[in-house]
Formats: sequence, C-alpha cells, structure tokens
Amino acid sequence: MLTVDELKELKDIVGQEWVKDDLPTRDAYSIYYNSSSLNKEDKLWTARPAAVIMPKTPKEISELTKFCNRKDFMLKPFSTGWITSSAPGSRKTILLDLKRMDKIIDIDIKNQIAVVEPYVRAIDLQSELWKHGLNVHAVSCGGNHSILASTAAAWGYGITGASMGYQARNMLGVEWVMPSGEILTLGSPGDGAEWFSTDGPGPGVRGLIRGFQGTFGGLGTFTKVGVKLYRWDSDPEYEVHGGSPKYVLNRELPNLGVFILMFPSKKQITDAGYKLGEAECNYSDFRMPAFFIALGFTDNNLELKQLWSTGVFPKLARYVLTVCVHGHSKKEYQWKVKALKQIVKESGGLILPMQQIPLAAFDIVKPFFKMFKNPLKLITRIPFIQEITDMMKTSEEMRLKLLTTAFFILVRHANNSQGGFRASSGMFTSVGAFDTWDMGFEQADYIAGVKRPAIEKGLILDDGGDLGSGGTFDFGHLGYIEGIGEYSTNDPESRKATKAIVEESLHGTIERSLGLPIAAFGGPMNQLFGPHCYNYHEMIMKIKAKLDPNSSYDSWTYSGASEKAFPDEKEGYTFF
Amino acid sequence: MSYPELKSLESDIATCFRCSLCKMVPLPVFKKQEFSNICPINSHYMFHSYSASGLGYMALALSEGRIQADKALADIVFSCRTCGYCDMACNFIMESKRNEINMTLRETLVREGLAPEEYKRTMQNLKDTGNPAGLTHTKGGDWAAGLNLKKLPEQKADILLYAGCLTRYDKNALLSARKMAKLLLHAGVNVGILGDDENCCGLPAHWMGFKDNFTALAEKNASSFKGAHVKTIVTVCGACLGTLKAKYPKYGINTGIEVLHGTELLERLIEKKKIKLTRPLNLKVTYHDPCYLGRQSEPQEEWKGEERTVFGQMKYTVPPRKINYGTGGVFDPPRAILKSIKGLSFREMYRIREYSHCCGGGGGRAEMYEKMSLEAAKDRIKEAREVGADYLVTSCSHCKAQFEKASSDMGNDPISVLDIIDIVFQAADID
Ligand SMILES: Cc1cc2nc3c(=O)[nH]c(=O)nc-3n(C[C@H](O)[C@H](O)[C@H](O)COP(=O)(O)OP(=O)(O)OC[C@H]3O[C@@H](n4cnc5c(N)ncnc54)[C@H](O)[C@@H]3O)c2cc1C
Ligand code: SF4
Ligand code: SF4
Repeated sequence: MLTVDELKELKDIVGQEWVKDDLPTRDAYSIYYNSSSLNKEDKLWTARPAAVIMPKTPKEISELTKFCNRKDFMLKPFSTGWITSSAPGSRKTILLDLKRMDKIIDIDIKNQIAVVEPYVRAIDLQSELWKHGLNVHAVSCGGNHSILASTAAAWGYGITGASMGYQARNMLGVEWVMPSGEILTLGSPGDGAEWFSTDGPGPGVRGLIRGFQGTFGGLGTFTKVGVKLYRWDSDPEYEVHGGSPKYVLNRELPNLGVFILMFPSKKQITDAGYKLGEAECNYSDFRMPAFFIALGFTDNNLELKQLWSTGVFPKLARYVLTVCVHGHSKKEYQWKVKALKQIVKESGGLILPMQQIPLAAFDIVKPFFKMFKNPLKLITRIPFIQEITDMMKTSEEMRLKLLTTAFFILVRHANNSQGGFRASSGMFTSVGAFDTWDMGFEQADYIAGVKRPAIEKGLILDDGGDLGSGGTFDFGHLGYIEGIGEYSTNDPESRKATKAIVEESLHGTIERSLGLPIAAFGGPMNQLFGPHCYNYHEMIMKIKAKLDPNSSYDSWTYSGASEKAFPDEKEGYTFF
Repeated sequence: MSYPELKSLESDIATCFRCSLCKMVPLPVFKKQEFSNICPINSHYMFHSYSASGLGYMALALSEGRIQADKALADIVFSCRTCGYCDMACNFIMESKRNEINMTLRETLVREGLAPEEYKRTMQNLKDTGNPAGLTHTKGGDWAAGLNLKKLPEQKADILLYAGCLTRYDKNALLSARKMAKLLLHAGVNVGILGDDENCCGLPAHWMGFKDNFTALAEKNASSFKGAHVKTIVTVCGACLGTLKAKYPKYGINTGIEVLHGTELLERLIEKKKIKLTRPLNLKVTYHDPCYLGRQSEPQEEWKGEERTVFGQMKYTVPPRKINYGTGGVFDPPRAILKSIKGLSFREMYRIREYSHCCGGGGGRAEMYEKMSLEAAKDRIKEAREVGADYLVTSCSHCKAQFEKASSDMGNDPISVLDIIDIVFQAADID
C-alpha cells in the first residue's frame, strides 16, 4: 500500500490526475491477454498493481525510477499493455502506462529511420511512412501493437520479416531511462535528431538491453526508439468500400501482388521458401495453416464447421505459403512475379487462383479427396495445371475481396487477431523458435503430436493439430513458425489442458533441440532453457544485479521475480 | 453482494483480450493517427479503466466481489458516453457483448443508489414534466404552432412526426423541426403529431442506466404510438430514431410500426421529385454520423436457435446469430441528400459511418463531464476542418447542440453547425 505521503510524492512528479490508486482502476489493470496462465487459481487476475501512473516525459520517468530506488516499490512500464508480459508481477508494482507518450518524433526519409515514443502503434507509423515511400516492420499481432515495444523491449517477429528481418535488428537508436534513473541514449536516431553515440568498444550495450527476446520492462524504460525503415513503392493511401467486418479495397495497389502458393510436401514448401528468399521476391510471407485458411473462407462458425468437415482442407492446404510480392518499380515487380512463378513451378507447387470457391464445390470434390492420401501431389502432376488454373476467371469484386484479405494480413497488419479468435474464444502459443525455416516445420509437426491427446478428449479445438503459423525471415536465412492452438477461455478443463500442452512442449523442445521458444523469458523459463543455451540466464541475472541493485524495476518477465516481491509472488507459472 | 445480471456476463467479459481495438478506428480503415482514436472517455482520461475493456474488467471485479460498488467505480462508469463504438469494434473481432456489459454495469450501480444526484434530478424531471430538463415554459406541442399539422390520435394521418424533447424545447432545434414539417406538407405527406401528448422517447433514462424508468416510458410511448394508428413514425432527431428502432425492441417493447428518420423520408421524397432541390448552395460541408442514428440504430434481431459445439471447443449457432456490426444504421440517406444539392461540395471525415466519433453529448448529463465531452466535440470539429469543411452537418439535435457549444468555445477556429433539415429546406427553396 502506498502511503499518503508516497502518493503525494508520485503526484508531484506527474501531476495529480495521472496517478490512480483506486481499486477499480487497479483491477482494470489486473487482466491481460491469457493472463489466467499466470494465476494459480486459474482466474484471469494477475497481481493487483499498487498504482497506475501515466508519465509524459523521460524526466518524469527518471524521477519515478528514483522513487522506486528509495522505496519498497517497483516500476513496470508498458506501451499498449496488450501482452501479458506487461502485467505487474507483484502487488508492490507500480505500472507505468505510457499511453501519453505517443509522438512520432521524426521521420528521416533519407536515412530511413523513424524516431517514435512508446505509444506509437505500428499502424500510426506505417500510415505516415507510406506517404514518404517508406515502411516499417510490424509484428504479427496486428497494427495496434507498439513499435517501440516490439523494437526495443519484446520479441519482434512479424510477417514482413521476410524482407525486413526481425525487430531487434531494426533498433538503430534508443533513449533509455536506466534502472538507476539516469537517462542514456544509444546508437543514433538519424540525421538531425538529438543524439549520436557509438556503441562500443566492448560488448554492445544495445545488444545487452535488447538481447534476443527483450527485457520486457524488467530493466528500465525505453522512451524513444530509432527504428530502421524499408522502402514502400506503392500507393501512399488506399480506399475501401463495404462495411465492418468486410472492408474491401477499391482497387489493386500498384507494384504489389499477393500469391497463395500450395505445395504437396514439407520439403517442397521449405525449398521454395529458400529460393524465394534467394531471389528476394518475398516482401512478406505467411505460412497459413489449413484451419486458418478454412476460417478465412467462411463468415461464421457454422460455415466453418461445414467446410472443415469436408476434410478437403487438411489434405489440400497442409503446406500453403501466402506471399506478397512488392517491386520498387513496375519492371522490378514484374521480374519478381516471374521469378516467383518459376520457383513455384520448379518446386512442384501450384499458385492458387484468386478466386472465391463456393462452399458447395467442396462437397463435390470431397469423395476425390477421400480416395487419395495426398491429392495435391496428383493435381500438381497434371500437365499444364498451372496454366489451366491461371485461366480460371472470377469477378473483379471477388478478386478484390480475396486480395484485400491477404493485403490486410501480409502488408497492413489489419486483421490478424480477427482471423485467429473466431473459432474458439482463446488462442495459445507454445513452441516456435527463431531458427531455420526447416526447423519451423519440425516444431509444427512436434506440437501437432503434443496437442493430439487433448484434441481427442475435446479439451482444445480440433484444428487438425498443425496450426503452425509464421514465415521466413531475412530472405530465407531464418524462419519462424509458432505452435498455436485454440482453447476456450471459459472452460477450466480447456485451460488446464492448454497449460499441460505448453509445459510438455517446453520440455520437449529441449529434448528435441527445437530451439528457444517464444515463451523463453522470465525467471522460470530462463532457468529451464538457460543451461541448454550458453547459460544465458546467469548473464541476465548478472546484468540485472549490476544495473538494478535496488530492484527499481519489476523483473518477473526478465530475470525472474524481484527481490522486493512478496514470497507468494515468487512461485512459478506457465505462460501462454 | 451478488449481482446476477453481471454474473451471467462473466464469460463474455472473459473473452476480452485487451487488444484496445475498442479505442481506435478499425485497422482496415485507419488513415491518420491524429484522427484514429474513438472512445471519447479513453481519449480524455487515458487510463484503461476508461474503455470498454476496462469497464468489463471492473464489472468482473465487482461481480466476483474483489471491489465494492462505490463512488470511485461510479465516477468511472457514468462517464461513459454510451456511444456504442466499443461494441461495434469488438464485434469486428469476435461476437461480443460490450454494450450489454457497459449498460448492465451502470444499471447495477443505479440500483445500488450510486447514480449521481444530477442523474436522479433528471429522472425526476422526466417524471414531472415529460422532458429531462424539466422545462415548463412551453407546452410539448407549441413547436408546431401555426403549421396546421394534424393532431393524433384525434385526427388520422399516415405518418406521425415525432419531434423529440430536445427539439421541442430548444429554440434553434424547434426551427429545424418546423422546417421538416413544412417540407413534408409541401411534399403532400399526410402527417400528424402527438402535440402536447408527445413524451420524451426515454433515451436519457436509458443512457443513465435507469432501466425500469426507461421501459416504463417506452411502454407508455408504444401505447400512444399504437393508438395513433399510423403506418410510420418519422423522427426529427437522430437520437430518438435509435431509441425507438433499436432500444425499445432490445428491452422487449415492440410497436409493430415502421420507424424512419427524417432523412430517410426526405431522401425518398427527393427521389420521387416531391421535393426538388433547385437552389444551388455553395457550401463546403462534411457530415457527422450521430451514434444513435448510425450504429446504435441497428436493431438487434432476436435470435432463436441452438448453440452447439463441434471440434471439441468450437461453438456455433444454428441458424448463425446475426452479429451487430453497426452497419445497419442510417448512413446513406443523409449523404445522398447532401450530394444531390447543386453546388455543394461534400467531403468525408476519417471517422465515419459505423466507426463515427461520438460528439460527446450523449450518455446523460454531459455537462457533468464537460471537459471530456467538449473535448470529444472539439476533436470532431478539428477533423471537419482538416478535411476542408466550413460546415459541419448533422442530423441529431443532441449532436448539433453539443457541436455549437464546443464551437463557441474554440476561439479562433469555430465551425458552422447545421442540421441537415436546414440545408434541405434552403435547397428546396420553398419557405
Ligand atoms: C494475439 C497476439 C499475437 C502476437 N503475435 C506476436 C508475433 O507474432 N510476434 C511477436 O514478436 N510478438 C507477438 N506478440 C507479442 C507482443 O504483443 C509483441 O511482441 C509486441 O511487439 C509488443 O507490443 P505491445 O504493444 O503488445 O507491447 P506491450 O504490451 O506494451 O509491451 C510488451 C512488453 O514490452 C515491455 N515494454 C513495453 N514498452 C516498454 C517500454 N517503453 N520500456 C520498457 N519496456 C517496455 C512491457 O513491459 C511488456 O513486457 C503477440 C501478442 C498477441 C497478444
Ligand atoms: S473489449 Fe474487445 S476490442 Fe476492446 S480490448 Fe477487449 S477484446 Fe479488444
Ligand atoms: S460506449 Fe463509447 S464512451 Fe463508452 S466505453 Fe464504449 S466507446 Fe467508450
């Protein structure tokens, strides 16, 4: 409990109206995405924060940090607060909600760097950048996430990673309120901006504070980030028609096309992924699991049931890669499309026509699909099948509808969460490491096996097992496929089963050397994975101890439960 | 303390995954950061508690007994303008019940006696005078003096023109209502009014969470509407339209009578050339979609069917339950009317139709939350200015009054606010 004097001190720093310690507000900050995964009683609630504060400036944050250096409280900063790692780890945690810091400070067109504050959402920045012929990497949760958070503080894998890498690589400069309260600037935010500081010699400090996964608010507050930008040579804006939930592009965008590539086997899709990267013709790509494709074809769960029950999708759409091709000029675009077509041909795949297939058609082809184990293998062997497929015509509106769906997923980050949540009420993630593109599919196969018993008992959604979603990164040098599942947020048995799957998969990842999963952060996970990965957990603990000796920042998602936390807050959890 | 109404919504609250999309325009139609936020309370107070998601979590906390029904909670809950955007936004992602959660929470607090004193006074006014402001300087039917409109139910007419209480008692708004009546008479429409017997539609009671008072008023109104034996009720004010068309049925009150907004009827009359917009108007205008004429007027269809489960955890309904996306509101008629006026240059704002930005004037006793509610209106005026409009046109007496108030407070950059009826009246050149 903050005392009256302590509250006054906090209010003096940021202003009366920006400190809240009433119970309703604190409870409004005690639930996050899948936060039941942290609650021992299987409820949605996390620890209730001691207060919630909305600072406006780095200086205020510095003062608040100094306060926590002196007192028995900790800070936990977040930008949008969407993901559970934003949650307070302790009742002694004061949350810093950075929503008031929402400025795009600079767009340096020449050097392709943007400088932003924490509450600049990916779509805020992207919309401005397009006007200047530039673009930014955004992570797959959607355009409503914070660019600063994904760049400086947490994960950072997204669909445009094929050409824009992963977000840690895009962090060019950062302004950091350190756990001591000092404000440090690193790297450079671009031409004409406020600072330039070289990094080194010795270990890179940017690496130290960003690392592989991020510090998740456990090691100070990032107040500005300079993020690397990429080119955008299409329209600065687009118009849509229609209404919620189906907004449709008025027309195709120049130098931009979306292709749905289908392959009969894992080997063929992975080979094609490498070749597409080598030719640099994938601006963004997404391995779309069969169940999600079926979901995208339908408007409600009744239709989805009918479609998925035909059994066509798991056989036809097991290895699908949707690819966005973008050229800096018309000529380059045409060349890339030609290259893509050639690669698909050489890899034995098929480019699906942009065509809405009537639900009834699936019933007609059902018997054929039942007869063969891998009907796509047969289909792709039909002479001139691609040419025949290409001749299939559809109405302009229909084409636009499909193009829009793909565009919103692959380029605009505008409907990903919508895509994922309709079938059941919740989605969990398990394995999924940033590694080779091949490894991604191995993980997908592995998690499909782990999910199977729960699927058979009806405890989680029967999505066919494989909901591995992700894509290539750095033009095929890396890949990432996340082992997703869908569960019911309202069914305790479903939640329990989900927890068990995630736990099993984490151990399985180690036994099978499947790489560091997205869940590998925070105390218990670091303890689990660290010994198998250069003892990185020890390094993290040392960094934390050195830079934050007074535990001014709540570190449950970084180095583990903070010293200041209550004993009951130091127990383990399973994060999904 | 147990709250069964909230308890029954707990599983719906739990589906909220804190994406904050209820605070901003739908991602596919996003254009500009400056005009991207929509929830007026969140834009002003900023804290997550001031959002549909936060309200939901606090409702859950109350239901589970983690927090008490107290003033701290009431202060947050009653600030919500009940604009309904969050419901539409969340339905974009999933089948949700954000509106119902918001309303149930405030209705719960009202039952607990936590409604602000000003709200209680408004309810008393409604009871005593038939209008929320408690005005007695004129009688309900005075606005139509000298127009020779038929008096229902004593006389017979096809259409009941329903002015609404803000329109009846506001000196500017009643002029628009008079123009509407004149336009209808000019077009040969067989129209009548309830005169002094016209009551408030009840929206203020609904806004403020006085469920019982709202349903009682609605039932009373429904009975006088039925007694008028008309084919159609036409509302002058956008807020009344949403109440009669969507909220009455939602609370189980059905009149069986077609309900239209004035703009819908005007559009038809213009199309049939019963009203000719001959006079060119060289105006640069934009149009503000009022919440209760727009997304909140989409009726919620009563769903009768079965919920089933398949694939272990996938729920589906037979027949599929219709999700309210707010797209079924009155959006096209006002635009069609404006676009048909010669010389008029029409431009759209960024937050339109089902994702329109609230004027801040709804939700009950907006003056209690003056800073926030005026900020919402000013933000909207800035948006109108940004798209190059000199006139902000709307079709709801509440929105118009709110914009006028905000504009007069904007010093060097006010905007002219017009009711669409005034524009049609000018263009029709009938006087
Ligand atoms: C449905 C869903 C799907 C997702 N998919 C992906 C995905 O595909 N790839 C991926 O990389 N991530 C994914 N995420 C995780 C995460 O949301 C993202 O990594 C995102 O980049 C973080 O942005 P945010 O707005 O959610 O940040 P927030 O929720 O605000 O914060 C995320 C973390 O960063 C910390 N943080 C935020 N701001 C600061 C700051 N200013 N200073 C210090 N620390 C800070 C917070 O404490 C928190 O731990 C997903 C999340 C969801 C909910
Ligand atoms: S109410 Fe809906 S839109 Fe708002 S945060 Fe929750 S899930 Fe997202
Ligand atoms: S109804 Fe409007 S004001 Fe209230 S929470 Fe929803 S969006 Fe915000």
